[in-house]
Amino acid sequence: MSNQQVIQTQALSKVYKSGKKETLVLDNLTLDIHKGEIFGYLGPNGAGKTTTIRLLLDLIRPTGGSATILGKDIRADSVEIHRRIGFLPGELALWKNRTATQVINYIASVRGGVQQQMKEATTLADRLKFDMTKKVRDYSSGNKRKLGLILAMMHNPELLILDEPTGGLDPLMQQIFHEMMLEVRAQGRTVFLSSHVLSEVQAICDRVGILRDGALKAVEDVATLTHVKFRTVEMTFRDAVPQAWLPQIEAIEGASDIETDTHTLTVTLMGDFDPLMRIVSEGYLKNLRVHEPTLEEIFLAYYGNGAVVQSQSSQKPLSGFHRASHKIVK
Amino acid sequence: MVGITFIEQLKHSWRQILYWGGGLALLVMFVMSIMQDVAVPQQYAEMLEQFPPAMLNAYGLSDAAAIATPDGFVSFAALTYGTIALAIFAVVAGLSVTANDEDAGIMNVLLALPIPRWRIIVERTAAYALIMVAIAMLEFVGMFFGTFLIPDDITIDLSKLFLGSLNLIPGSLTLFAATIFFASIFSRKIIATGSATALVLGSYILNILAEVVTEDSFGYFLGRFSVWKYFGTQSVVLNGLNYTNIIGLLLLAIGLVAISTIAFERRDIA
Repeated sequence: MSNQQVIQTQALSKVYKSGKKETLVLDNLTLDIHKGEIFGYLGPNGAGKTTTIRLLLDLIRPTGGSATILGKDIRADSVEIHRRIGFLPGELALWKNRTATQVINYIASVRGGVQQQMKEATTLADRLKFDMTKKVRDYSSGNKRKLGLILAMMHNPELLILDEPTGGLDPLMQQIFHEMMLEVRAQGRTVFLSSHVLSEVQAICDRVGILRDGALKAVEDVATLTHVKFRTVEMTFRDAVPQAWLPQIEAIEGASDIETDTHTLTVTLMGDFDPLMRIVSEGYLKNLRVHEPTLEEIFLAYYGNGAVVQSQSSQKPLSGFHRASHKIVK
Repeated sequence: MVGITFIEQLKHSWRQILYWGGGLALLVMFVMSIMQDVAVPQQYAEMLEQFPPAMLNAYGLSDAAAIATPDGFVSFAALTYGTIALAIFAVVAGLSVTANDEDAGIMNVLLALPIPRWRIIVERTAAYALIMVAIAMLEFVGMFFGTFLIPDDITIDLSKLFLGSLNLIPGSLTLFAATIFFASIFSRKIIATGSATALVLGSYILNILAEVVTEDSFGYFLGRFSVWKYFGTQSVVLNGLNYTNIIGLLLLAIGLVAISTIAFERRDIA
């Protein structure tokens, strides 16, 4: 293992058995998370994101495969691993009759170094505008999330494992959370973040892994995903769009999804603009809009097709992945 | 930090000690305040002699004559409540070791901390065992203060009542350990609760039935497997502690906790 790899899984699998019925919830997950990166773990509900996290934390045991965190085996060295990580579960449950201060104090006591952690917790609480004096049962879901973040971060762990971290947080707090994650990364620490809030992943993650039906479909740099070369071009003309243009546009390599609406022509385009511009140059162009795809659109395209580009091993760019011109894996 | 979960559990359980132990102490004092005449125990004994043996046994009484003395009356009236209360508390506490937190999802947070699973079971078990001892001792404190509520001509041997209070502990610890065991093998709280309740009630019924059948019957043989057979306080007040029973129950409790620790260590957290 490279010392730059904070999480390494090798063919990690989990099958749930109920009587004679077996359900494969995680299928041969092989994944490397590097030191100092923010890794977004994406997938729809039931894809296996939380199962992966629970396996990594040794809450459930793998049916097959293995994994290490910070170079330690997740099963044999779980206590040592837990000392060095911070975890925020998707649905945070705590002792309802205790105050946040009591919960923080207890968890700090289990980890050791109470004073330092209480000091850090107070700093985090100030930043998140969180009142630590109330009982857990009196907090809103957003405030419980803040408490969860404080508990996960107050010991400055080397690795943060966060399951849907911003659920319930208002936009301002989400922004503060993003800043905090970027600071964590700047300090050389690592974040493994499961989410289906794509804008969040796009904003802070360095790489994303896309999970579907328990199988990892792709791992890619966010920068690569957000620099895909397909975009939607929408042109509005003073006069009606000549039908004669359409066969010519269809003939352009990389043009697809061509739609017209009297004065408007919409084309999804890969590659250069020039061939398209030459065809439409006869018309009087009133307005031109170019729409870059969001990560969400890319994500939906992945699931829309039911097939994705095999990108982790080859590191091929995803541009035009919805076309048949790239290697497709089912 | 070693012991932090033990301390934390004790810190947040003082209300339980107060409510259960204090409640039992008040109940005992009330029972003792009834005994304003030495004839009261004898009248109760005469009345109970009319009851069938199974019914007497259901009240934890093998012989109605045993309650004819003030010591016997107090131990019957007061310690029977203690036995039942501690049996219920044993199930409640047993579920609190792992099942409640697992059912609520808190175990996910707890086990993501640098604490091994076995330590959660062992430290919480130790804390609740201490709490059960405290509840039993509070009941004895109630008996002690109860002696001030009875007339001077009635003498109560507090040392016997103390032994009776002590005898509550091994049996309740066994039921407590059995509940921990069920919670450690079943990840669903409702199944653990049902199993523990079935054990307490089933064992209770088995004990009653064993007393009314002949000694060579299978029912009598089955009665040996009832925790309640070794849990009764009546004979302790009359004959002193049965150390074989106590050691047997404590060993069973330790064994169940050890198996629970291994089972909980191995299985998935719900």
